[in-house]
Amino acid sequence: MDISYRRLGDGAVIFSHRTWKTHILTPAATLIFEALDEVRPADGGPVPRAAALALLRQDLDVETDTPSTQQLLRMLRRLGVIA
Amino acid sequence: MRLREQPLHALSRQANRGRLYLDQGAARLRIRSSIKGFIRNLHLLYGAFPYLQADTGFADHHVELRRGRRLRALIRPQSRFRTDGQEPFEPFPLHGALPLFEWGINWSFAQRANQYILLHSGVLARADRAVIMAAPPGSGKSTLAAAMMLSGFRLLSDEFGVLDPNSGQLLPMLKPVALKNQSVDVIRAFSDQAVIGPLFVGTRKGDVAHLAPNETSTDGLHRPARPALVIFPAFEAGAALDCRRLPGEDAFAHLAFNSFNYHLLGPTGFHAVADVIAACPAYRLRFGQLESAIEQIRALLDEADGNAQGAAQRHPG
Repeated sequence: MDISYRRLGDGAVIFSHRTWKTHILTPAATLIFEALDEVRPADGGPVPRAAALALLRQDLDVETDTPSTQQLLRMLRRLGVIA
Repeated sequence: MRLREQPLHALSRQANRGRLYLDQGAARLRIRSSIKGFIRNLHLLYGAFPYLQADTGFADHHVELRRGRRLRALIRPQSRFRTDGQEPFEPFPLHGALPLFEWGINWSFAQRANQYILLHSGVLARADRAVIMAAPPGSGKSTLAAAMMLSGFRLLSDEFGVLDPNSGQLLPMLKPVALKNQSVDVIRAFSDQAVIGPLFVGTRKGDVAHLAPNETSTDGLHRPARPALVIFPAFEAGAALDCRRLPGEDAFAHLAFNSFNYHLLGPTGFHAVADVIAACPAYRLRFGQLESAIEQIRALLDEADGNAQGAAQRHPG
């Protein structure tokens, strides 16, 4: 996962060193990112998709099939946060 | 010695020989020109700037303002701008040499000063604590910056927020403030201290006149200021003052994505802008009257200073 992450108040911003793109995270997206970051494997690799979805549904009570969540998950996959 | 203390004929001679220098803080210019009206305008609008000797030497940008040649010297005479061998703009009418010069300098600086993050914003300071004012054209940013300078703030820049990624400080890039259309009369009425150059009618950006930076500002040409407050101003005729705190991620997006060169600087730009947003509260300020907007900015700066001092006491060192 080759990114820089900065928390700015309740939201956050991410810079991808691979694409040089900047991503803006809303407060809700920030909570999800930070929760996934905590359960990342020790080698720094991505969180397996099934584990990520389970964490979102069970621990964060997030509906994973809404368009906004799907969009966030696509972004996190491109960033290498989830597999 | 200030530029205005130098006789006009001496400046003209230096410019004719290509040895007129201007220090704008983040950049130094070497100017060649034989257009007398242009030199007269420089003498007025850059009057408070330091005078530099003809043998000054190094300059970041070498610029030339010259008349059109052959028939163009006689029929509808033109002024042409060249910088380091490039001519980025179509010629202007001869009397429009000053706005052509000002836009040309902006272009040159935006092309080349990539050792800095160039925010598209005005910057003013009180006691070296900077207010970054970022907004799209037509939002009243320049008018507000002009009025703030005339109310005691130090002007660092009207167009570029020159952010040094190494120090996190903002550097002056000081030039006259370009006032457009009704703003010219608004600023004339705002203060009798305003030194305003000639009105250039019907330019690409409307009617334009320039406000000269004052001595408080030119005396601080090489004094950086630390970011303290970010304001996104929006003028609306007759509007009541409305000031709202912006979430950090929104403020980051507005500041970074409207910068001239954020996309070129990768992680350097990312961390520099994030540092600014982490250190400064950001507000959207809708205003219909300059005085109340300035009063509000002073109050926000007081609050930001108080919070910064409180944080320093809680976390010394």
